[in-house]
Amino acid sequence: MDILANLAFGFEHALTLQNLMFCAIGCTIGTFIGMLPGLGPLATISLLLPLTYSIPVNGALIMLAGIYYGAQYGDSVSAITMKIPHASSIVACIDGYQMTLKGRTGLALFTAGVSSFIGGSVAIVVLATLAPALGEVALRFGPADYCALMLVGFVCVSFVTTGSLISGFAMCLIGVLLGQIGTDVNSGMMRFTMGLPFLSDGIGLVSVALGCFGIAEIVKTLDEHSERTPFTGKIHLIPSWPEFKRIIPSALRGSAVGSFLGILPGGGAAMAQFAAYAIDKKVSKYKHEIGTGCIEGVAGQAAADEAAARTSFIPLMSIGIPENAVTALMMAAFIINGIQPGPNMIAGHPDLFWGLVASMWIGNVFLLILNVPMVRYWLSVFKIPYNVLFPSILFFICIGTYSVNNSLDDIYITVVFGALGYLFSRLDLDPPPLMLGFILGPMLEENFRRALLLSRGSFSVFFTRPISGTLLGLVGLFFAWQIALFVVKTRERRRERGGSTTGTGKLSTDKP
Amino acid sequence: MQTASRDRAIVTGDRCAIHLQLQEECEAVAVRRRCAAGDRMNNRNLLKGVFLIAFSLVFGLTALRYPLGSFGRAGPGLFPVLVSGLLLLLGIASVIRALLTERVPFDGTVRNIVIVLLSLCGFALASQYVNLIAGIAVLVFVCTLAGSSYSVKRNLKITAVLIVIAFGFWKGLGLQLGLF
Repeated sequence: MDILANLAFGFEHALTLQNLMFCAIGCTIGTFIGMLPGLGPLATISLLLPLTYSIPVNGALIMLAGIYYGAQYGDSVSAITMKIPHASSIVACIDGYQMTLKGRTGLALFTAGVSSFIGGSVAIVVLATLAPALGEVALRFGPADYCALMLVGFVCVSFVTTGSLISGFAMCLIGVLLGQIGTDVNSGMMRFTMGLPFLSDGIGLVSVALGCFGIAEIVKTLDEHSERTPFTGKIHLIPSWPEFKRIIPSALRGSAVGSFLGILPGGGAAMAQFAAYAIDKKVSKYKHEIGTGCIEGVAGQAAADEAAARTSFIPLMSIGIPENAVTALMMAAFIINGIQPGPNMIAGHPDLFWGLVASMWIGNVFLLILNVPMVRYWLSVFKIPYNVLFPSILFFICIGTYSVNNSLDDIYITVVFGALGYLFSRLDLDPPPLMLGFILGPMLEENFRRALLLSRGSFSVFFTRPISGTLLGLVGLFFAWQIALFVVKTRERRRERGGSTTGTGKLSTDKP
Repeated sequence: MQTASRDRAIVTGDRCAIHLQLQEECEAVAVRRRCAAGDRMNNRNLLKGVFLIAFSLVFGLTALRYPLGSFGRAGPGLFPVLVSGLLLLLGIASVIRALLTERVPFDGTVRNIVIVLLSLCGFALASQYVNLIAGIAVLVFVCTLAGSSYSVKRNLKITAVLIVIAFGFWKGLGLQLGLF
């Protein structure tokens, strides 16, 4: 009953006319920008972050959440209609696009919208129950435990988003190092500023995100020289009753999977949708159709996507440690707006916390009643040729960067990160872990120094405390497993190659 | 693999297949030799490792110049030194892995990224020394050089629309950057 009272309290805050408006604006702009090729949720949030500065805190958070969900829905729209994948909609390209080829775009878009709604609603119940409980656990965390938890986040994100532990972890560390630029909090010393005064406050988050995600993606699209043909098919949205009935079981399965995977460190949309798709392929009543463009293939992953996106807020809001790149960006946005997420947020600002939870649900409803019926108008974005679109996006990147500090110097920083981001993408290094490292870096240093100060310089504190000991043990095991896997694979490859070049004659000498 | 299919061809007595197979094998050997002799550095994974090492050295060596303190009382340089050390290890590990695994050629053109970045710098400079209108014009006219086609008329239209949007930001959202 407590939850119901709390949720009612939240809705009271979220349902003011002003907040409703911010929610609607956030969803709408988020969808619009999220649909553009090369701009995923990360770039969209950072591009629109400056918009929230002039808004009261409560409204700003609600609008940010709206932008995030809008961007995610926008991603799946472009994935379904034109097979443009973003990080959060890779799976939607499979069955969703197949449905478009069959001429059932409307049904796919409707399914994605409704499933997102179901996933989001389930996840909100999970969020409202778990976050306060976890918040109490988090109060027992010491600095060493925080360090260990951040390391676990780094390892998981590296592995999930890039698939290569070394590259991903290296990107996290690069992010941590970049986060060191600026004034050292403890000693007041300038670090890595190269004597440039505008670097003394550190590098702007928006510059990093827009450089690595915005500019790098645009140039990558330009390099491909592929003009996309805009979607011109008809959209018939309302499904028949039997079709509608098929959505629900898959969506519920997806919600459960997504809610669970979203809470895990490094979890979130990307992993959840693959898992949900795989499960549907195993257990669905229509599993033989999945892959050829059927409702289940869209519903399960869309619900999981949305559910995971929501429950990934749980570690952020109850412990204060984001566990993936998007929530890290959201945390930075919260801090810019004057809110420090963590165990004290729920107790100290109950109106903010429960208001945000309620507005997530309201945002979902908005998506359903506003964006799904209007999707055909959204799609006209793609009638704009890319040669017109990309100068405009670049302009918005400039304005977005400038308006953070009203400083033109920030544009040069964005330029530097654009170059770096492009280099990263050519070297096959994925930037999302960098973002997490960049945002968590200062926190990691702070806790690391505090832990060592408390233990008088002894590293044993990281292993003797039960929480950090367990977490670090898991990290160690994971690394060992990865190395073992690599050694085994290399050996196998060697053996194969050795066998083939020496031909059949060698075979007899192999067995003495 | 190739030898295996050659053996199969020998067994089946397919002359034509043997001939084709031999030809293919010769080519493969030639390609391998070219790779070994020439651009050994043209390996994306190797470059990645080298980049990580360079990055860690730049930050690590700079951090060594700051006071390090002790573990119990860390100075500003200690944490960056530790992190760069870890990054250095990862860099070395990925160099080793690159040498052990297959080569992946590095591809990428410099042209588009340079044009786009120049246009952004041009925007900042022109907005600083002239005004935002000039900045927008510079941005649009420079960056579209990277597009698939170039048209002055279209650029003028884009510039006009963006100026209107900027005017809206200026009046509506309180953008500090003066248009004139």
